[in-house]
Amino acid sequence: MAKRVARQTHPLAAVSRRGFLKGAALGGAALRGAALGGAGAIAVPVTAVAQAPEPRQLPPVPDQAAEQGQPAEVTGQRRRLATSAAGGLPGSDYMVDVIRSLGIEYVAFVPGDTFKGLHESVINYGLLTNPKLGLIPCMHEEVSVAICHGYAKIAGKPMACAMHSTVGLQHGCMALYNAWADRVPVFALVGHQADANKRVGLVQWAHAVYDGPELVRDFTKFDDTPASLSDFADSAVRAYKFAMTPPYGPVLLALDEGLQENPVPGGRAPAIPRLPLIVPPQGEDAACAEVARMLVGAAHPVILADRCARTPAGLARLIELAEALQAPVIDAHGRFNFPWRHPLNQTGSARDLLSRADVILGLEMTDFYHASAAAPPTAKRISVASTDLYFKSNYQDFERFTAVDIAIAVDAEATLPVLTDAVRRAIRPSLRSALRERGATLARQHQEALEESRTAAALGWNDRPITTARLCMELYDKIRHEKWSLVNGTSFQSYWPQRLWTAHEHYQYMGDAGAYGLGYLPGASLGAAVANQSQGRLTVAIGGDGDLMFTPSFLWTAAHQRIPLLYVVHNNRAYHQEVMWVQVIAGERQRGIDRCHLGTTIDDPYIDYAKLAQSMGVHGEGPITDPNALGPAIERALAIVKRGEPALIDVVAQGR
Amino acid sequence: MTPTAPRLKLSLASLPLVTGAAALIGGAAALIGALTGGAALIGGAALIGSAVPTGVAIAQAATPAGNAQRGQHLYLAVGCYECHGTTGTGAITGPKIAPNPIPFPAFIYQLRHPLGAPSYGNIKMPAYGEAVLSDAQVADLYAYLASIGPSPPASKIPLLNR
Repeated sequence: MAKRVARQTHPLAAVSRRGFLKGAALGGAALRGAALGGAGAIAVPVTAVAQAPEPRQLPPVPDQAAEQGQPAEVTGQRRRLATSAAGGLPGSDYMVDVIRSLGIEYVAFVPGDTFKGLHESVINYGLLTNPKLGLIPCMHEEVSVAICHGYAKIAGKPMACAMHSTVGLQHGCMALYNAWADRVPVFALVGHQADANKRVGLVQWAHAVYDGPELVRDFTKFDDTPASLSDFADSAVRAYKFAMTPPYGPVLLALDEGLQENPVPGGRAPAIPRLPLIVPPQGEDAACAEVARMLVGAAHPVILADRCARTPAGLARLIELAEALQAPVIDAHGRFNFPWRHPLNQTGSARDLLSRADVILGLEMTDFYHASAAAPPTAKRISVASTDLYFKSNYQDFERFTAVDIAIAVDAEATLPVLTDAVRRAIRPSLRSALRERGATLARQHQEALEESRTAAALGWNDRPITTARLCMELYDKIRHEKWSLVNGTSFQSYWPQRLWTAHEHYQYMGDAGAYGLGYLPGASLGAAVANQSQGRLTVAIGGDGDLMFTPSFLWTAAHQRIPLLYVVHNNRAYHQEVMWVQVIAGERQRGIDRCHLGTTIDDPYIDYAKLAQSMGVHGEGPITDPNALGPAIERALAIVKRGEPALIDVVAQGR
Repeated sequence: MTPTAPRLKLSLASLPLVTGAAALIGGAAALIGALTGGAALIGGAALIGSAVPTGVAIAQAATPAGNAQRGQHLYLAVGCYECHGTTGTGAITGPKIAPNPIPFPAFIYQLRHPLGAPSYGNIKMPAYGEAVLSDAQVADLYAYLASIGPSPPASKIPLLNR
């Protein structure tokens, strides 16, 4: 296990910048290993600095001419020293060091004057010294939080975002709720002005709040408003630890302006606490043995998985369990839990299998009740879920109560090896042929479901609007030989990717928004693309037009940061889910069922999403209405993405 | 009946007609006759994956004549396309209803008294009573669905065979 030695002093106070830079680069890599290592850790390798984008253009400064041709580090050093000479070591420089000691590589934000100290430290210190703390500029806090959300699901660790006091956090809070409901770590920061005498005008008073984090306390795992720099360091490490202990979740620290902007007292930065190896809670042996006994003894066991595979290891572990039992796996699609073309993947036969199930194992289920509703009441239900360990009462994202026979409150992924071992021990030799037979039957069933899906996908193949099956298959045709990562939830595309594509890597799918708050995918897909970029993966997203219009400014961030992402707009010209809901109530009332488009459809005028993209510097093409034009358009867009830039295509498609 | 003719918000220009929409309405009547032989239980409901209440019978009913073009207009205006797709292909939200729609008696029964458990998002199919959709309009809808021609088979689509 890698160990990290806590620094006793701020690096600039102790060593020369050049010396520190060399050491910090090595130390940063080791830190990441420490943060992510261990039993439940993400195995995704992380390059030390490469993915932090260089600032494309330094902000104009009075002596800009003198800077031309100088390396960024030298420029930064000179600026840093000037700041230092003016006021000593800024508190927010120390905050930057604490943040990057956590292995955090980026901070995404819309500027806000309550964190101007931190902002300045990011651009004049964090960006210019190693390990770099990269900056992702945004135009809406909902985007910056969602970037963290998507990034964490691919990278397996948090990104930081900073928000302006009050109004900034208010803009970002829905995205925090999505992350909370999706059990995703986000390291959020918000500016705070505690000293009323420092509020220089009416705006500062309007943006001041006594307890800012209260706004999101119902859906963050931890928040704090530290009163000193050492308090900040402790809280930051504590927050990181909470965020990364299953169930994962967002955390928030409010940073006082004085703390950011004043020099470090005495010029000596406080020590940064060690970052622990975080070991997720694991199932107890006897409980696992009992579950194994039930599963092995069942005639028709079913495994349900939702957010089971937190990491690539979780995917492999679920395969081992399913294969040991030769039991069907039904994927609720919260993560990439199980290979889509594995013979035991029986998601397409869920209703049939559940109707006969006698034992159901639910792994990190969000909605166990509805996911297993087709099962007979006599079926035994076993829940293995970390969500039982930590929850709050106000927001009801814990879903409908499910009566279970055994509830094991642990991290499912970390528990799978113990459970699988117990299953293997419980299988008597006499049972093996029956298990093989069950596996063979399920394999045939998987193949039949695949053929049925192909037949269904052919329906309306040449229709306009383009069917979602055609859309998905045209896209797959162009990416299937790439190292692709599909980063949207697929329910709006009738799950065609899961039904027809071949996927077996953890990064190839990451689930949906969590709380289904609109505006998620634009930012989340960008964050995922940032994480995928360093791994040489191609990031693609299929997103609704309604979702896009909540957070269209992500396009500017994508272009500005040159983030390679293919964004396919599934343009059904409506808030389609809501059209259907209004249709339901209109059906009940039996008046004006032909008027449900009012307030739900996005027409008169139609929005030109290609132009929207182009207006922000992104390659945009569309609206594409001819299904035969779709493949070539995807090809053109992919050529842009492979050059390292974002591209958007607008596809006029069926509702689902 | 709705007080005014249903407004076609999604214009035919924006949602172009499916190929094969010119098929004859008479084909639907022939289909019904072939499938039901006259009096029909709601056996057709089985085709849409719904539980069938036993003992519920529908009086013998011939497939009424309908206008496919008006039917397509209605299909879009009253929202059938939302769950079933603009040509009845079906989706996660609702089953396939064309080509080869279920027999007319079952079809109109399903519209008036939707069967089946809530599916996607726990949304249940809304009822289309006579107050919002007359029998004549249902016949038009049916004519539209019956006019929809077959899609190419999956085996002939390269993208579905790679």
